[in-house]
Amino acid sequence: MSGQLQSLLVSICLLVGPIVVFGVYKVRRNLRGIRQAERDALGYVPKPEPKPGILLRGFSAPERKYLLQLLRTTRYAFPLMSWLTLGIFSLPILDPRFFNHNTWNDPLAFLWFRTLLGAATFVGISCFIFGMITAAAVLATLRFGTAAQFFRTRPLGIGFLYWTSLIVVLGSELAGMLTGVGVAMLLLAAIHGPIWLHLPTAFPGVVTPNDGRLELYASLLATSPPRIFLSICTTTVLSLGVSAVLLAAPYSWPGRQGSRPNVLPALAMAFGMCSLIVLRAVLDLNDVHLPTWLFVYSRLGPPPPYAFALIPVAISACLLILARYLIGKSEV
Amino acid sequence: MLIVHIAANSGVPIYLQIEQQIKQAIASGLLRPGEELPSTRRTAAELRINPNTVARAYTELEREGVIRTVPGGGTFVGNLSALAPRLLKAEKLRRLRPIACQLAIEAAQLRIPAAELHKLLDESLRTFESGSAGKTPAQHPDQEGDL
Amino acid sequence: MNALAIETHSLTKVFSGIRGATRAVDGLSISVPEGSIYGLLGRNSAGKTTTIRMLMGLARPTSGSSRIFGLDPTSERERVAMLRLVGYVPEDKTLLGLTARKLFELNRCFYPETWSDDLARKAVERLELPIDTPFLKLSMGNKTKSALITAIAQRSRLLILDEPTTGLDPVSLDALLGLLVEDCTADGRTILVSSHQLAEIEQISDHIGILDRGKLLLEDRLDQILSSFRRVTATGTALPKIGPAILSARSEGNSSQYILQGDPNSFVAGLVSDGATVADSAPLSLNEIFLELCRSQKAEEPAFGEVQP
Repeated sequence: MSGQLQSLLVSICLLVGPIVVFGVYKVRRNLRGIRQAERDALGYVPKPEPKPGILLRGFSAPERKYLLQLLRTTRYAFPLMSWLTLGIFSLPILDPRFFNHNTWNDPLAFLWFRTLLGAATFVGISCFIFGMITAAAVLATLRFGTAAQFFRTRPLGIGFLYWTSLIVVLGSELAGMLTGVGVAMLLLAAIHGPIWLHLPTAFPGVVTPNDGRLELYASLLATSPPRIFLSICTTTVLSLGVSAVLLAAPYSWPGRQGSRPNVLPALAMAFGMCSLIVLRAVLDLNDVHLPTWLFVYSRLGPPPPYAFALIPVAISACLLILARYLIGKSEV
Repeated sequence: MLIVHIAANSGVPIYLQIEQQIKQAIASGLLRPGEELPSTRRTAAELRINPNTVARAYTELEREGVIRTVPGGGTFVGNLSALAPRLLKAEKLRRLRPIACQLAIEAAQLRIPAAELHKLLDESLRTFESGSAGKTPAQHPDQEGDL
Repeated sequence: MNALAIETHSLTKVFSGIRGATRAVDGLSISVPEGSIYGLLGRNSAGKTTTIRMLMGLARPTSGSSRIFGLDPTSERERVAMLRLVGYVPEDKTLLGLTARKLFELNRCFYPETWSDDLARKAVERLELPIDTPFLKLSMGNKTKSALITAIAQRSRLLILDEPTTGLDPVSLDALLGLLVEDCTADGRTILVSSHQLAEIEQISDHIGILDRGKLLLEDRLDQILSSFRRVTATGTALPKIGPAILSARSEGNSSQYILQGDPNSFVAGLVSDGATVADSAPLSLNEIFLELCRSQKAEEPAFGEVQP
C-alpha cells in the first residue's frame, strides 16, 4: 500500500512541480518588470496599436482588443492542459505493480490495462472538474466581480463576450487534452511498442475459480480506446453545459428580485462536486444505461455506440444557449 | 485684471456673484474699458465652476451693455462713457447699502439721533481723506464726481 | 431646447430581502439635459448607486424604463451603441489590470474614436497619479484617480461619475474639478455626478436632483433651487404655522423662523401685509436646503424598509 502511495506522491510532484516552478518564475519576472517600471517612472506614452491582421478585420476595434486580451490571458491554458493530461496518462508507467510480475504475467497487457483504466477514470472525474472550471472561467468575466463590471460597461455585445470566451477557453482545453493524450500514446508506443495491437486473447496469468481479474481482462479486451478519447471531449462539454446553466441562473424566482448573495457560485460548484460523487456511486450501482446514453465512458467494458456521442453534445449545446439567455438577463 | 472669487455655498447664485464682481471690478478701476476678459471656459476652469454659469453671467452683462463680444472672438469691457456712470453708481450704492442699513440699525438700538450719526460719518470721511492726503484717490477718468 | 442625455420614467428597483421588500429606487423620473453638469445628491442608501447601475445596464429595473441618448440599456441591440458614448466611474473602485498604465492601455482600444492619450497624460500630471504602482499597493485616493482618468480620457459624450471623490485630498479634489470643467464639458458633453459631497457638487453643477429613500425630492436648475428657498425670520402676533410655501416653521414667543420653498417673495409680502415685521431674510446654501428637505421628508414618511401598501 505504501508503495502505491509513494508512487502516487512522486507522480503528483512530477506533475505539479514544473507548473509551480514555471508559475513562480513568471510571477517573479512580472514583479521585477513592475518594480523596474516604477523606478523608471516614464510618462504615459503608449505605443500606437498595430493594424489588424486579415483574420481580425471583420471585428470592431473593441472586439479585436477583447479577443487579443482573451488570447493573452488564456495562452497558458493549452500547454497547461496538455501537460496535465500527458502526466495523468503517463502515470501508469510509474506504477510499481508494473514491475511486479506477480499480478499479471504479461506486464505489457497490465500496462495497457492501467492506461485505459486511467483514461476511463479521467473521463469519470477530471472531465467533470475541467468542465466546471471552464464554466467558472467563462462566466466570471460576465457575471461576477471586477472583470464583469468592467467588460459589461465597455461597448461589447454580451453574446460576443460569451461565445468568444467559451470557444477560446473550451477550444484550448480540448485541444490541450487531446494533445496530451496523443503525446502520451506516442510515448507509450515509442517506449514499449504498440501494445494495444498485440494483446494476448488468453488471460496472461494463472487463473483460479471466481477470479475477478478474468472479468477485468475481458472488459479490457472489449474496451474501445478511440471512444474513450471521444468521451473525454463530450463529457467535458456536457459538464461545461450543466455548470454554465448553474452559474448563470438567476438568484431568485422571476418576478421577485433577489439582492446579491455572493455565496451562490460557491454553492453551485459545491453542489456540482457533491453530485459528481453521488453520480459516480449511482453509476457504479446501476446498470450502465445512463452513462451509455450520455456517452460517459467511465468504466472499462463494452463501449457505447459512436452515434451516442451526439447526445451530450446536443444537450450541452441547448444548455449553453440557455445559459447565454440567462446571462443576458442577469445582473452584475 | 479680473480677479473673481466665488463663495459657492453662500446661497447666492454663482452667476449673480460673477456679474456683481465684474461690475465691481469695473467700478473700482481694476478693469479698464476695452480690456479683454478671459473666455468663459478659462474663467470656469480657474474658478472650478460650470462654464454654462459663466456664460450666463457674461450674457446678462452683455445684455446690460457692460461688456460686449466681438464676432471674431473675445469679450471686452464695454465703452462706458454712455451708460457707465448711472450703472456703476448703482453698483457702488448697492455695495454700501447693507453697511448703511447696519449702521442705521445699530444707531437705532443705541438710540443715537440722526444728527449725531451724520456728524460721525463726516468725521470719519475727513480722517480718511487727510490720512491718505499723500496719495491721491485713484483716478477714474469716466466716473469722477458722481458720488 | 435641449435634447436629453438621460431620461428615466418611473424607474423602480425592489429588492426582496429577509425583512420584506425594499424599494431602493421608487418611481424615479429624472431628466438630464445634454451639455449640463447634473448633480445627483442624496444620503447613503438613497438609491443613487442603484439608479446609476440601472442606467449602465448592470442592474435590471423591476419596472419603469430609462433611456440614454434615446437608447435602452436593457435592450441587447441598443446597449452596445449606448456604451460607446458613456464613460463610467463605478462606486466600487477595485480596478482591472495590474497598474494604471496597463488599465489605460487596455481601455484606450475600446474607444478608438474618442480616446485621447494627451488628455490621459495631462490628467495623470494634474492629479499626480503614479501610473506604475501595482493596484494592490495603491491608496484609495489613487485608485479613484485611476478610475477617473480611465473614464475622462475617453472623452465620452456622457460621463457618469459615482462617488468620484472617495479618498481624494483637497488638492486632488480641486484638480479634479478643474479637469472636469475644462476637458469634460466641451462640445456639449454631459456629466452626471452622484455624490453626497454637496460643496463640490454645488460648485460645478447647473442641474440638481435630490434623492431620498429612492424617491426624487427635487429636480431643477441649481439657480432656480437656490432662489426658491429662503430662510425668513418674522415677528408678529398671528404668524401662520402651515402654508403652501412653508417647508418648516419654528416659533418662539411672537417670532417665527420659516424655511420657505416655492415662492418666498409672495409669502413675505403676505406676511408684511398682515402686519408682521420681517427681521431677516436670507438665502440657503444647497447643504442647508438638502438637510431641510431630508428632515421634512423623514417627518412625513414611515420608517425606511417597511413594506409599502
